[in-house]
Amino acid sequence: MKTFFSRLAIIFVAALMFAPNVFAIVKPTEKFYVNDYADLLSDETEAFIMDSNLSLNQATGAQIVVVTVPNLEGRELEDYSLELARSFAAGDAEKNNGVVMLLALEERQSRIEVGRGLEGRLTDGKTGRIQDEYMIPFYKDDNFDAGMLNGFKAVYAEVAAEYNFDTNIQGEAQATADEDDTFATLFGAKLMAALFVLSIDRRKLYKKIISFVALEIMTVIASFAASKIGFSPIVVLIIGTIVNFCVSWFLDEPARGTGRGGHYHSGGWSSGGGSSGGFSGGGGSFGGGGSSRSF
Amino acid sequence: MNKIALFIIGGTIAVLALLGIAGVSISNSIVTLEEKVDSSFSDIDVQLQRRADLVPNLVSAVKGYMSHEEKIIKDITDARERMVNASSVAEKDAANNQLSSALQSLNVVVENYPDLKSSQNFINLQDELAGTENRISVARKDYNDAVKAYNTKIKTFPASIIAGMQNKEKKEYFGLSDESKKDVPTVDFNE
Repeated sequence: MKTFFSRLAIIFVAALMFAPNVFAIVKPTEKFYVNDYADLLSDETEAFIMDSNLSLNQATGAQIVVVTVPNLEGRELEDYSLELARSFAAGDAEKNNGVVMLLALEERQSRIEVGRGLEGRLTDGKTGRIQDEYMIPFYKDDNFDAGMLNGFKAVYAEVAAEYNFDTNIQGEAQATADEDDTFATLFGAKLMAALFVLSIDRRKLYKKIISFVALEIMTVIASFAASKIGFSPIVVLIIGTIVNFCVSWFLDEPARGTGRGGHYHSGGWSSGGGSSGGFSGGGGSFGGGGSSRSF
Repeated sequence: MNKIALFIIGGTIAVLALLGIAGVSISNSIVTLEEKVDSSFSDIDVQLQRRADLVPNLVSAVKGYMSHEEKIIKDITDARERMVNASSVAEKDAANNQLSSALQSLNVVVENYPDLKSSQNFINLQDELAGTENRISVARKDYNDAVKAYNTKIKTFPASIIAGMQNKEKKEYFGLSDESKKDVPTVDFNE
């Protein structure tokens, strides 16, 4: 029983270590694509940005992140924007196709930060013009919601054009994205439980029983989730129970490299966060491209 | 007796092998850091070059509007000339700082030419120039971060031993003055 708790402690510490560092800049919200810290955007705008991004990201890996902040905490706009873009790591790690649209309310400044991979399409001049034409006129009238939405549409159109991405298939792609997400979450949760159980020594009977119960709890949760996406929960429950029994009864030596089990667990944790609608950056890099405006 | 000799020889070989593996992996990590330094350095160069390439466009866009500001235009072209002819990146950077201040005086007089100020071509060029200036400062910062990581690595144990054997030397920081950073022009449309 002692090892059981000590392993639990190790896993907990590992999960903490993987938690994002504390920056002076804002951190991604669970929505990732919309980070309305200054509370300027309407629900419709936020929903539009989320939906557009989900389909775009699935097809191209590109991510257009919208951030509003009350102030820049005394920092330069360009500094703040770059650090934010890099910490969000928007865009695909290979294609570096992230864009960050930042609005600082107190300073009344706006910036579009462009990832290295999109600098050819979204040149500094073009991001400047997008702000001048679609955003700043609205910002000047304190109509931040319309300005951001308009600007987002313009940036989105450019990125979509870069990849010949047909924006009409949006609805369809959206549905697939949701389903994939649920599957990933289910799989992640199950994997987490399995890795956890495999990391315990279960040669004693009571330990077998504990691990079986732990797996079974996960299976019950999984079957509930399965019913939501149109699977029979009873089938999931029965198959799951058989698998759980086999795992906890026969595979009764602890897996090697249990420390790694802890790492995997924490990885599963953050992808498991996807269940509550969390997304994250793809690892895109930024080199300071883009343009700034005051309004 | 034989067994003991065998044990000592085997043990020595094992220890040497382990040391060798550790040495190679440390040496590799030094090389990786050094390459990061080199690639960020060439980033600075690329961005400086890009900025120099933009200046002729700006000059030709401006010339038609402001025929009376010969001195400013001359300052800009001179600084650009120096940038293009610079033999080292440090020299190029110094010329770039000169270019930045010349561009700043241009931005002051632009206020007197509303037609130019609102022309799409000029705004576009200003954005490109500002963007490139920002990229230069980002590249400079990235370079200095890479140098810091590299210098720290070769000065701390155990990598310091390997670095000493390979005669790895400390790298220099680049243009530490933050002045050029403040020269980044922002296009302000407040009337």
